[in-house]
Amino acid sequence: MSESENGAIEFTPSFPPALEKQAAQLPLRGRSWLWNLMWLPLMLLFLLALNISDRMGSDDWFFMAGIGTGLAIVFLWAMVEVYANGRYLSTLTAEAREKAEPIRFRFTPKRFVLELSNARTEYLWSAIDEIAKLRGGTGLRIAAMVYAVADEDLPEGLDGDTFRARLNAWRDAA
Amino acid sequence: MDDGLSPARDTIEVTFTYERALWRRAMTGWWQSVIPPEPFIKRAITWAVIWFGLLIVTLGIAAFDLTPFYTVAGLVGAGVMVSSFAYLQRTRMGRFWDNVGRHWDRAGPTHVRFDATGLEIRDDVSERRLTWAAIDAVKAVKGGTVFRSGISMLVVPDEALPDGVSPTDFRALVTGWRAQ
Repeated sequence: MSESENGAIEFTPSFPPALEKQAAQLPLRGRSWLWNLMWLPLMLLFLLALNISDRMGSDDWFFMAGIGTGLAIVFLWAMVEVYANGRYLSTLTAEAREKAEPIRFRFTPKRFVLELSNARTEYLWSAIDEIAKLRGGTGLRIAAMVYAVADEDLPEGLDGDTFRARLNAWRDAA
Repeated sequence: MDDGLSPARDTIEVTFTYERALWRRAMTGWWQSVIPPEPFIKRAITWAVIWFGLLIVTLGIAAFDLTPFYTVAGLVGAGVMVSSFAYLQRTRMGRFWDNVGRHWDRAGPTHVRFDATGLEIRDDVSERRLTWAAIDAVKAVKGGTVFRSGISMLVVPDEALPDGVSPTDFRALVTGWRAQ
């Protein structure tokens, strides 16, 4: 790189799993938690149905139990699926990383550079869609990809907040 | 490919822009390169077993002098849950594609150069250089070719390929380069 490397931050990332999990949610964000209120009408409907079936006779608890069983089976099945998919993805990521080692992250005033044994990527700061504060680190989102930087990987004397402040300043200047 | 008129290609260069519909399909192809779909016969058997199980349960209920409508109730419950999840997944992925699309508005057109050593991907905001060893899977989807490297994905639309290079030719070339 020809430009000045003043203030460049360079280190080997460790990708702690807890941080990766938070980072994976970043591309899906953008809706307020208030949306969860939309489940309210569904619940009311369910209670109403319960009330109606109650008046029809005592046996109808069985009917509600039937509906409940159906709900529960699909819910459990979906949870198993989500868990299995998550496991697949993390195995995949781990394998790809193992193949790509050694991995270096370099942050300079102009770019974010990823050096892998089998690939090299340079992002200008204008490529970074989001610099998010996560618990124990920072998430850098580029379209659907998120790179998680653990605070503990940062060079000595640099904490997460200072790191993010510096990245934001570089990005604003870009 | 080698028709005697043009020499065998040793590089392919393409330029293209983000196209939500193709990217969506590519995502499916990407996922199938991770977990290949079960063969039709296996899925058919699984569903046959599920329905047979339901029939057994219904008969079992009937044996206790209860109405088989309880099975219908179970199916209703399952249906409600399936549609809720389908709805959630749709809105979730909608947000995902909105976020991804906004990135491409800024990144402009993507140029990719393929040769025996690997890929060079450039747009207005980034530059990537990958050796073939970094590519884990190549998969054909309707309208394009998907390259998977770890969990990242590159989609090359068929329309972007140079004149005289069909998607099949292109993938054959890639297979040759990857095998080296």
